[in-house]
Parts: sequence; C-alpha cells; structure tokens
Amino acid sequence: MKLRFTKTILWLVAGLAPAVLVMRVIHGPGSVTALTDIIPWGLWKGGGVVALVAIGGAGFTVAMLVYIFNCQLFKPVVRGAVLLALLCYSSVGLGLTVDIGIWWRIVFPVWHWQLHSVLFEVAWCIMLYLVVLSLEFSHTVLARIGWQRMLSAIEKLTMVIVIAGISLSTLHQSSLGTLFLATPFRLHPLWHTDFLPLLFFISAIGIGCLTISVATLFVHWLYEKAAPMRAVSGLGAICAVTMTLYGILRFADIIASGKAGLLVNPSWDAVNFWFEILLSVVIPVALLSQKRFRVSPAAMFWIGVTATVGLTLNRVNVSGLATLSLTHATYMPSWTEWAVSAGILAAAGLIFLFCVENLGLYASIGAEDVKRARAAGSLDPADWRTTFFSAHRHGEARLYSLVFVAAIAGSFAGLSDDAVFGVEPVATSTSSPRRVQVVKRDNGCSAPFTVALRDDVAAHSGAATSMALMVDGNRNGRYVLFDHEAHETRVEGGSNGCARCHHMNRPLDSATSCFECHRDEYLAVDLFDHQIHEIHTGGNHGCIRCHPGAGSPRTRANTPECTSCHPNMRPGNTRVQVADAGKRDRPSGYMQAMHGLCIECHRERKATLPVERQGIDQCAGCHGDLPAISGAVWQSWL
Amino acid sequence: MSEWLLWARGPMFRFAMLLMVLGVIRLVVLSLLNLVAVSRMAGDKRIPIATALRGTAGWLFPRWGALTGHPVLTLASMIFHLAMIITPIFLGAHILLWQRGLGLSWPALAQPLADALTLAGIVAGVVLIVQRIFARASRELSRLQDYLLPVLITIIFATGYLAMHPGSDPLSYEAVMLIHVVCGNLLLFALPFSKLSHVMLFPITRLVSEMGWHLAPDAGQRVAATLHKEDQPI
Repeated sequence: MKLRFTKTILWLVAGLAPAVLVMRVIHGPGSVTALTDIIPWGLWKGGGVVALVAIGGAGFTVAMLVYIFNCQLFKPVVRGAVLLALLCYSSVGLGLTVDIGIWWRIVFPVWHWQLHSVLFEVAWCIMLYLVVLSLEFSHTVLARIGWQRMLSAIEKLTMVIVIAGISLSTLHQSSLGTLFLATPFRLHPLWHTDFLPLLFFISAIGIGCLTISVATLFVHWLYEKAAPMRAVSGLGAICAVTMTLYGILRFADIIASGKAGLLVNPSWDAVNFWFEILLSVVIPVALLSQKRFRVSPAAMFWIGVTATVGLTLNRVNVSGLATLSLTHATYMPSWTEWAVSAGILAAAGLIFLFCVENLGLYASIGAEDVKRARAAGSLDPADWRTTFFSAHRHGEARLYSLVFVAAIAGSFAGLSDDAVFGVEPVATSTSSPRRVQVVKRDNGCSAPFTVALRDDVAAHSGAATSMALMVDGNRNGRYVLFDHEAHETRVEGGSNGCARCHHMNRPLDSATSCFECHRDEYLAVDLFDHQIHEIHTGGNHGCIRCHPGAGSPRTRANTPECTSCHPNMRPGNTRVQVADAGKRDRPSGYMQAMHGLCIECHRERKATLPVERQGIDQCAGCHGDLPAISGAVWQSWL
Repeated sequence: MSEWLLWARGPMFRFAMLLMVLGVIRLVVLSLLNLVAVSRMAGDKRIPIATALRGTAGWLFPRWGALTGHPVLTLASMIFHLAMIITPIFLGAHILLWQRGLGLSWPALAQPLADALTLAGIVAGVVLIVQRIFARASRELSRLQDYLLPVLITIIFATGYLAMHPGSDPLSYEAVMLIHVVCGNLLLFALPFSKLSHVMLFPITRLVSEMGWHLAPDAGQRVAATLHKEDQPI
C-alpha cells in the first residue's frame, strides 16, 4: 500500500508540471516565473540545474569505484547509481531548456562554438556525458531484452565508457563552480572563492555517495526488502572522508583569505552559511564517522536526506540565494516554478521505480517482491474505491491517470491569464494631435512663457507667433498644449532626441505619453525606510516600539505618527500642507508640493493683474487642460 | 458578484474544460486497454468493428418499435439530446467565446431557432425529471446522478435562455450568468466521471460488449471447476 501511496503522490506532483511547461514554451518564461533582470537565475537554474548535477554525481563516483578500483562491494548499487545520474542529467537538460529564454536555442552550443565560455564547456560536457550515461545504462536494458550481441559489444567498451564518463564529470562538475567565479560582485564573500571549482567537485563526490544511498534505501523500504547495507555503509564512510576534506578546505580558504570575521558577523548570510555547513558537513561527518549509524538503514537514510538538503542549499546559495544581499534584490520562486521543478523530479522518480520493477535494477528486488508490493491488499467489493480503482483490470492505471489528469487541470486553472493567453498589449485610444498657432510672452513669473492662441494675437500685437501642438497627452480625451520646440531643445540628445518620444512607443501606441517621462508627478512618494528603523531600534526587539500590542497586526495603519518620535520632521510654517491630516507620515508628492507652493502666490498676485489674466488662479491657467476648444474658453484664461 | 463570475469563467472553466478533455482521453485509453486484455483472453480474436459501428449507428436513432408504450418519453429524450448537442456548439454567443479564447469560429445557429431548441430542451428536461421521479420502474433503476444530471442540464438551459433575454429576466444578469457558467463547468467536470461519459464511450462500449462475449476457449470447464461441478452434466 505504501508503494501505491508513493506512486500516487509522484503522479500527482508530476501532473503539476505539463500545463505550466506548455504555457511557458508558448508564451515565454515571464508570466510563469518570478525572475527579474536583477535575479535572472532562479529556482530552475539553482535547484533544477546546478544542484541536480551535483546530486547526479552518484553515477561517476560509484562507476569509478566499481569499474576502475574494482570494489565489488559497491556492485549492488552501481546500476542504480548510473540510472540516478542519467535521470538527474536528463532533468537538467529539460530544466535548462525551459529555463533559457529562447528555449529552442538549447542546441546552439553544438554548432556555435564559444571557446572562451565556461558555459560552452559545461554544455558540451553535459551533452557528452548524457550520451556516455545512456551507453552505460544500455547494459541494463540490453540485458533485460536479451540482445546478446549488442550487449557483448557494449561490455567490451565498458572501460572506455566509464573513463570517458569520469573525465567528463570531473570537467563539468568543477566547471559549474568556475561559472560562478565570474560573479565576485554578486556572490557573498563567504561563498565566492577561487576554490569554487575544487569545492564543487569534491562535494559532488560526497553528495553522490549519499544520494544513491538514499535512493537505494527508499526503494528497498518501498518493496519491503533488506537493502544492501554493506555497500551503503561503505558509501557512507567514503562520504565522511570526502566531506571532512571539503569542510577543511572550505574553512581553510575562508580563514586564509581573511574572511573569518564574516563567520561571526551577525547577518542573515552568516546564519545561512552556518545552517548550510551544519546540514552538509557537521551532521553527516559527525554521524557517518560512527559505525553504528552507518549500519542502520534508518540512520543512513536520514543522514543522506540531511546532507542532500544541505548540499542542495549550497548550490542554491552559490547560484542565487547568497547573491540577494549584495544585489539588494528579493526573489521568491512562483508556485509555477516550484511545480515545474518538483514535477520533473517526480517524473524522474517514477521512471526510477519503473526501472526497479521492470529492468531488475537491484538484484535484491525480484519480480516476486514487486508483485507482492504492488498487490492492493484485501478489497471490499462493495466499497466505492474498489469500483473506481480496482474492480477491473488496470486498477493502478485508473488511480494514477486520475490524479495525473486532475493535477494537470488544476495547475492549468491556477495559471494567470497572462500565462494562458500571453501578455497582450492594451490599445489605448487617443485623440489625434492638432497643430495650432500661439504667441509666447514673458509673464513675469518664474515659468518662462505663457502660451496663447492665435485668436488673441490681436490683443498682443507685436508678439512673435509660433506653432504648437495640442495633444491628448494623458489619454483622457482632453487636450493639453504641447510645446514641441521647447521639448526639442530640452530633451537629451538634441536633434537626435526624437527617438526619446517617437521611437520608444509601446505596442499599439503611436507616440509616447507625457507620463512616460514626467512620471514623478504621479508616483506615490514614501520616505519611510523600514530597514533603517529596524537597525536603529535594535532589530527584532525594536518592533514593539512602533507596533505596540502583541496581538494586533503589524501594519502601517496601527503605528503611531512619525511626528510622535520626530517632532521636528515638518517645519511648522511650511506652505506645503498634507491633504491627509490623519497620517502625516508621507511627504508631499511633486504635484502636492507645487500646488501648495504656487497657488498661494498666484492668488495673491491675481489682484494686481489686468482683467484678461484673472484666470491665473485657475487650474487651466497653468496646465492648459482644455475641456473644450472654443474662443470663449481661451478668453477666460488669458 | 463580478469577481465570482470572473473566477467561474476563468480558472474554474479552465479546470473543468481541461479536466474534461484529459479525462475523456484517459477513459478512452483505459477502455482500449480493457479491450486489449479482453481480446487476449478470448478464443475468437476477431475485432467486430463493423458490428460495433452498426450498433452505434442504430442506437443513435429512437427505437419506436421497442418503446411503443412510451412515445412521449422517447420524443422527450430525443429532443433533450438534440438540444444539448446543437445549442451549446452552434449558439452565436458561445462561438464568440471560442473566437476570443482560441481564435476558432464557425457558422452560428439563427437566434430564433436556438431559442426554440432551448425552450424545447427545458420542456423535455422537465418531462424527463418528472418521469424519473414518478414512474416506479425508472425510480427503482435510478442512481443519484440520474436525478442530478437532468436537473443540472435543465438549469443550464433555463439560465442560458434568461441570459440571452435580459428583458424577461427577473434576476440580475450577473447572477443568472454565474449560475449558468458554474453549472456548465460542473457539467464539464462531471462528464468523464459520470454516465455522461457515453458521449465518447458510446462506440467503444459497443465494441467492448461485443468482445466481452468472445469467451476463452476453456471458459466452460473453468466455470464448472469454480463451481466444483466438473463431472456433472451441464
């Protein structure tokens, strides 16, 4: 029953991925991932590629032990290790394909040779290693289907294949570390070191020993058979040695390069570092060095899980998590990213179980054991579950296909509309611009010009006329006067500046909106910096100073006003007043500030001005927002 | 209300639609697997496709002869089926949805004809429900889904009609639309998991039942052995 339960869960999780993958392939990664330009490498890269390659290190480690060093002790797990590596690397290939922006270019390294690129080497190594792994694994398949001639041909090549596999693994396991040498300004110094290639390689051996142990123990638990514990504890011993070496190297490097202070510097990164070291080095080494833990299946399983999580965390840290503090970015994978990563892994797990059942992956698990484990137990014919899942043939197929199909539909329903239909630009309708003749003159204020229409030229004889545009600049169907000449001189780039407005249009727009450049007038302004307050009030203990009341939610709504701590924040005689008197924690926006500063003066000056300029205290007096275009309106504001 | 409607037309519809499509595929594959297993055991290995197709085509038409006692029910059932097949697919408003979502479109049914079919479907649905409840023979045979499905479908017809004719709609348009969409989703959802699956399995069921009677060559002896009556005359 536990086999059936496990497989059901795996099918369910595997079903979460396909709909997301299809939509990602059709519409691109933007709508299904939380990636940004600052954090372009997320879960799919850190977890699905960098960590999985290390987990797949089982293949070359065990193959080397068995075929090169001739340790017959590890023979029982070598097929499993090769399959584990094959599945990990296939998942890497799939994960990388969906992760890169233009997915079909995954094959480009085959003919675009960038010999100076580390990624080029990694790509080739992984491609070749996949081929080598397939050849290695073809042993098992050919033996099962009984193609003797092909099998003996492959067997003759075993040594060559294994040596090729080991060389390629050495190359790309370390090259993945080399890749991150290029990120000294992103990666936290506790992780960034010139030894990254070496550290990656050594830890891949250590973790590889444990991942195949975990897989072997779990599978034997599923099929209720005794695991080959001698091989497993042997792998545990090798892992203890390797991880000790890894730990020594890591700390020696940190101390030698003068970064030891960072180890005790209380920061989020130091906690992360120590947690990672605890899981990946301290716990495995401390426990694996004791024989009583090495011979216990349960202990080996949980040690293996701990170390795998720890080393996965290491890879995730290097490729993303430990870059957050230097880049000041935040990134939390979206559920679709989790769904794809978990789905690919679950599918790989199902293939592993299929091979265990049908290809004799472990000599210790025979056809009879499989049959016994798959039996549904005693069935009550009257039970509805029997009717649905077991009454006829293919009871298992009914169950698994049902959860698979339901998971696909469920994940599809959860996608955003942008992910399903693609991101569509929304067409905004604008009124066409109109060209009008205006006069400009000095108005005696700080703003250089008042612009008047041609109709009134008679009243200002002698003034120079020029052309201006009336544009629907804010897309609200109301014209504003747009001084094209002034923009030509003001816009960066001079005569080449046309592109600033005319060639950076969004899809379906014909000209850039005013607010594309004049955006700070409309942006909400907030000068409150939570982090600074955290630091000055003493971290977590300071929360209560601004958020009193332990039970109430810690939101801005129930904090005291800024002025209760900062009484001199706003000078008492300021002309700029805040509209919302209740909460004075926000400074005035540009618009608010300008209105506060200007309107008072305009009102004062109004009394001194001639009758045709009595509109100076009206909105349209400055903004030229023209609700209707008629001579009468113009007259009123001039 | 409009948020609920958006939810029903968005995520819930996507869930129901994809589950319907994949669920039907799943059912067909499982039935074919069954068929393979059956034919592997059978003594007669021929696959009677012609018989199955003939049976399928034959049962598509009402059997007046076999059901002379219930001409009203036969007629109601036929109208109900026709309305259910033609109206959802060829209603102009539905085609617009297809066009918006997938860019597909086809000629629409004339609106008066669609209205007539819908009203006929409602009447036929009510007749069938009443018969389910009050005819003893039907009642004895009915399961829960046999009551629920016609009610669900009749609700969809009724709310669909009201949504097309807001003038005669006593409720708010959005409420009616919400009921219409949610019930439609439930119908899609129920399709692969209830007797509604006959929309796809109809021909396959003929084939399976034809093949099912192709017994294994030693079937007789095995039955006798199971009953411990090997040496007795049949």
